[in-house]
Amino acid sequence: MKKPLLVIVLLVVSFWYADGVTALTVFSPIVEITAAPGEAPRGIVKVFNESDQPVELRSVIEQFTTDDQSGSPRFIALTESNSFLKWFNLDQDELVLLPRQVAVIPFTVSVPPNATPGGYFAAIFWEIVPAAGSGDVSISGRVGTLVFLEVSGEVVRQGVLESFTRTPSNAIVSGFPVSFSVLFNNTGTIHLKPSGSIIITNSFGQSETLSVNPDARNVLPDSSRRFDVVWGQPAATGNILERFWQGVRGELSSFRLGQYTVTVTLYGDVSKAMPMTATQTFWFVPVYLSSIAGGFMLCALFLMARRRNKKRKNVLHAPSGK
Amino acid sequence: MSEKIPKSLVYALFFLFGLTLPMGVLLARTESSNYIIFADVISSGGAATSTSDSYSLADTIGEAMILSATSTSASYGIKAGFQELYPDQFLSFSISNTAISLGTLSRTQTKTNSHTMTLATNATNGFLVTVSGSTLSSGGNTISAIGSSAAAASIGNEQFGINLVANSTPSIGANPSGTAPIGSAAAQYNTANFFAFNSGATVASSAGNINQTIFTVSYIANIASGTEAGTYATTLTYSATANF
Repeated sequence: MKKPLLVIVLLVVSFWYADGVTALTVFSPIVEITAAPGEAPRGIVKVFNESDQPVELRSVIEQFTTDDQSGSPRFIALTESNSFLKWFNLDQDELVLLPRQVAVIPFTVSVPPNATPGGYFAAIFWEIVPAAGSGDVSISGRVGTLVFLEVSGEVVRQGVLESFTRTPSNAIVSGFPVSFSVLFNNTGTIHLKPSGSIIITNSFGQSETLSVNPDARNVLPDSSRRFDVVWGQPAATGNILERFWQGVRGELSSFRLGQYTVTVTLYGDVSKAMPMTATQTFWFVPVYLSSIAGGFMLCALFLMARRRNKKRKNVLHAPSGK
Repeated sequence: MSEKIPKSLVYALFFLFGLTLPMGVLLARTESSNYIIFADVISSGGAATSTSDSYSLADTIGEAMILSATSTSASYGIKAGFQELYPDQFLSFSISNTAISLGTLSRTQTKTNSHTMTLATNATNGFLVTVSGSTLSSGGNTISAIGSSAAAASIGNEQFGINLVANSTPSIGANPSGTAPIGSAAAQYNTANFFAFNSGATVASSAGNINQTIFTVSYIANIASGTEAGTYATTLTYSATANF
């Protein structure tokens, strides 16, 4: 008798507010957990109903991985190949949140005794019920907490510096910005946070240092991630005159000229293990200042030529001494 | 003289009353014009005045809000910390509609519609929103999705696509808006008059924390002369997570 009534009340509450805008917030959107095989650590996810309406929520747990170099996640529902998702059990997988109410929902990760050590990656999503309406295009939104689970044991931490490139890639660079791309390939079994620096040294031995991955972003196993580091001010914008003067000001404020040697040193993780280096050289010529200097030289040459012509004419028209 | 109250009404009242109570794991925000208590808790143990000769500690148990303060040895485990509330990282996400209509698809006109989605986060690595789902379909018939490379609307050719910027052809959409710093539309979804649709693709992101950003998601659909008649529909899911 009780259960049907509860369902009816829930449905009434849900449908009453189904058309409204409901904002969901998760706190601590990334959670890292370490556990040994056979252990069952507890974690929590926190979800907040921002709106002035009650919402009925349900959870969905999916694997996340990445298949591009930007680190964009790809979510994969439970299949035979990611059965580790069954290790995750929320204390509540459905709940009703009142307006401006927070729920702290504990979960347990039951790691089997025979689990292979390494990284396991799950997203715990919360979506509003009903998730989507009826129409040509039904739309649902969900917000998730990413769980990085490390099953301890013989975990392989290794990676390679796959490439170190520069844009523009010409041997002679004619202006800022110069973008360096560091591509790191995680060949191990656990997520890594590579970090390091790019040291740019000129012909006189003066150097400046730029950080690689200062935000400690993760690279998942069996994937590569590109870290872009920009040297110099952003490209000038506006019309041709505005761009020109912005460029001149930028080159004057940070004058660079000559040959530069760039060395990247990358460590596989925050413990500074696995140092890897790569080097490249290029010439830097400030294009705006060079064009002004070129303009001055042309003017000078023009004036010199004119003066020479004038002198020649004067010589030709000078009265003869006979 | 007393009237009998229906049992179902009593159950319903109890249920609604129950919704208003802390459910063990629930915390509530309390606020007025003068203060905000972001969360409160009914402590399940501890003492307010644990003392010895050299220290005094106000403690409670069962308030382990974070995982990082765990200390363990072979013989003990402790969730250490002060009774401190700190600015946690958050990710907030909402969508204006649960459905939109493209109307009757036409061979001579691009059909459009749009909705908004709103993001905000103080996560230092920013956020990502991906879209997943299939193109418009009717039974076994489908309208070709534009795919991962953006293309302009082409009347008379089968197309289904979206973008997140202001367009003039067709006239629909708006650029991401908010007080800087704000999020941005992803490549392939950020060029005016060019649309794409690739399930699983990232459509919006930021590299760092952002203020509330309103994205307008615009949809276009075109059909060809050979498109089979039918009622075409789809369900799309937008997933917001922190950037890792």
